[in-house]
Amino acid sequence: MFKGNNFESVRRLLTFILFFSGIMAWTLSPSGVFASGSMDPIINRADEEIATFDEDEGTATVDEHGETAAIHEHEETMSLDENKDAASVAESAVNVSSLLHTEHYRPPVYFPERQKRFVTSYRWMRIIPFAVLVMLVFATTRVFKKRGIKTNIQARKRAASEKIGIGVGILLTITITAGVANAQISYSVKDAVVSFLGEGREIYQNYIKVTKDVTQILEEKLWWEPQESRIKIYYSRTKDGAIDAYVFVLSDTLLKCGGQHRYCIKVSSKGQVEGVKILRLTCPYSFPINNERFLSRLKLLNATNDDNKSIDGVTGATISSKLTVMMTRRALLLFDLLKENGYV
Amino acid sequence: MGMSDSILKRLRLLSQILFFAIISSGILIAGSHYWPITGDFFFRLDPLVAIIAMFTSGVLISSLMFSLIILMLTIFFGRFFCGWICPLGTLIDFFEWIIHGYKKKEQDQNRLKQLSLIKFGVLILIVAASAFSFQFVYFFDPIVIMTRFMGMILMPIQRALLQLPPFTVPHAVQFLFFTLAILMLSLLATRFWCRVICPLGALLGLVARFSPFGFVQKDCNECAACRKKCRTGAIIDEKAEVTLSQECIRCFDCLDTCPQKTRFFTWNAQTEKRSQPDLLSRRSFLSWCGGGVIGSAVIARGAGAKPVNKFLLRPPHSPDEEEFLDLCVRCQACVNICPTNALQPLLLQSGLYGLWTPALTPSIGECKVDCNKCSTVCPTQAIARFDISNKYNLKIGTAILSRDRCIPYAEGLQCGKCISKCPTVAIGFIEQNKLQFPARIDVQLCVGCGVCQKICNEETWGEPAIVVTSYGRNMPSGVPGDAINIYLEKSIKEESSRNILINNEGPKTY
Repeated sequence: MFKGNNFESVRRLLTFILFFSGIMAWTLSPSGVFASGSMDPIINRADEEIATFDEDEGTATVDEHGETAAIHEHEETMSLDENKDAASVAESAVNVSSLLHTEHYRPPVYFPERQKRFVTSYRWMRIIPFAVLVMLVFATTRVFKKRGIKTNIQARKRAASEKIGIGVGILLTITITAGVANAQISYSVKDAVVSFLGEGREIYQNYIKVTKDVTQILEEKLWWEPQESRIKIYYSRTKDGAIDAYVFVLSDTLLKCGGQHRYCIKVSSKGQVEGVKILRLTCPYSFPINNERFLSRLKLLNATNDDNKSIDGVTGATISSKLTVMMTRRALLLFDLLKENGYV
Repeated sequence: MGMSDSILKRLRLLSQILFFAIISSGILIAGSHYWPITGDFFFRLDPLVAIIAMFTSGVLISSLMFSLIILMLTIFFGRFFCGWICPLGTLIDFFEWIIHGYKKKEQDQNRLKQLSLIKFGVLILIVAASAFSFQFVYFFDPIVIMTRFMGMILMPIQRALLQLPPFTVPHAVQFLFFTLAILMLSLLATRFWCRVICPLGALLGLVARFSPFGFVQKDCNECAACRKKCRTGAIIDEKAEVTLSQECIRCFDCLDTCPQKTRFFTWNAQTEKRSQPDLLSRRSFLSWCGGGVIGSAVIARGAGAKPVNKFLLRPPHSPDEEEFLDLCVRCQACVNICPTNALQPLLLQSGLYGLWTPALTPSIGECKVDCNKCSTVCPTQAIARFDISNKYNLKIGTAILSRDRCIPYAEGLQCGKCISKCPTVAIGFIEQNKLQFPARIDVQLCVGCGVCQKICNEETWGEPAIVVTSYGRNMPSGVPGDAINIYLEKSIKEESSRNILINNEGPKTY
């Protein structure tokens, strides 16, 4: 096969490769020379920074300044315990919370000098991929070649590679955007409330103060310890001034999921659930599925049953459905409280 | 001269077996004290992983710089990596040997000529996506694929056969199907993956175009036997005069096949370089590039966004989520080496971009105090290297307690196992009626190791009452810096002790 000289040169080359790869294998192995020195993580002390946790996210405040500009403020304040002012109410609510509960919403005190970054990313390296792409242009195509001069092979190959390239892009785009569109439809508070109470109508907002008594009731009936000192509600009135329907905007950070959830639930003056919308759901295991087919199952349930057991019928395996049901129960319980105190 | 053909083929076979054994041992015997090679060895030879991981994250990864040696050798010798070293290539060769035996069937090379350019498109796609901080090299890189296959499929079998502690990954079968699909492609044509899809082959092929070595014909009778049996379709013309350097993997089958022995592998073989056509048209290039850019942009902004998942625990000392996802090449080397099986590959819990990334799963196993194995095998520093003594400097997460499922609260029975098992005595309790009620978890002392969740998962009937969240990830813990060292010294004397804060009085009571 080989002529004399060629074979000799190839044999020498192979010997070299084997010898070289042997050395390389030893050198690159974790116990080798290279491994001992420069495998430590790159740490840049100059990049030290204090990570902060957004406490507001955890406590789920209910103010929606930007979104409720068009909604009328109502002067009346509904209080179930008129004897205490707002500050003392909030304080007592915190006291009622368990030790554990308060612990997890209090940011810990850290020692910033001990916090380190692990890797250092360089901005200049962001340019390199583009440079490599330019190199790839030159490596794979003749950029400056005139159009029309093609080899036979190129002329036949263009179709396949080009079509697949376009196909991959289209497939990625369609698949992912379709997935997003179906799974994650989010509403603002304003959108949800207006859609529930009717566009063009006068919509009122108010707050339920979470007093000690209220907390006790909520804990007893639903093991619910509200993190807010007041819960925001929206409602509309009929022509004769009677309240038509309540819309509750309920938020919570749940231990079960760890994410923050915000629901908008409409309960009619008869105590029937007339609509549920998921405003926010950062649960790691599910999307905010504002699917009407699912949410409509909660409609027309009512608060007449003491334990709201009828809602159990729509619980599902997913966390989304469990949370939705739980929030609906809370809304119905709040409605009960309002009704008992003569606000319906 | 026929002897020399055999020598070359045998040497190639020997090389393939040697490197296959190296990667196998790196995964299957990894973690043994007597075996120096770990799962990250091969990644140091992989220029594609090096380039994409560094491009995506903007981090200079020193350990991967040695892959440049492969690129430099490729300039001289062509795509020898694919034919002599690549473990996936070896597996494909082995599969084809099982299917076809020694006699390779003749192939219609014209049919595959067009398809062979796809791999360059895939390479462009990956580089374009990496420019926008999105990497999916883990789908295509042969070393990653083989590391995953070894660890996810062969390792459980090995453990079962040797009656070692079981290693289980619930949805590992997907990796089997992924690898099988690649092998099945070989039914279409020999080395179909290597010649059509593999972006590493494309990268090496581009570099190999500069190789001074090549094949020449002397007194060839143009029987084209070499062309018909070329396993990568490198010989493109009917007269077998032109051999494409970017396709040839230096398997030397053509030398063996030539009936007249008129084909030579020689220095300064420039014949094929002059005849090489363009690889892609400009429009093709832009299509692939656009696909990468659009895909990465859509995934980054859409469903593949990097969501903050509070139940997602990353391995200890892994950087912030965004950097972690950019750096992690989903090789599962850390998953394979984790002694408690706590590290598991995710599906879509962290979005599309988090596919197959490792996550700590305390319900299966805890993160042991005296272990840093995952950090030693990570090829891209997605898990930074750390000493055991520094392990608890930074938190993995924080445990939270749900009282409605906690046994003392819900059933009125004594449990308290999380209190006694916690290595950092972070769980305080209230004692009433001879029952210990876990009451408060010290956020600074809790490092998120997951011991509590594991033991709780074993005790409760349903979901565990105490679960670890990523709250406080990468924040400094309140554990004293020398605690682990003192513990390790002490634990030799008292093996029953699990509390690393031996100077501490014990769990707080309220």
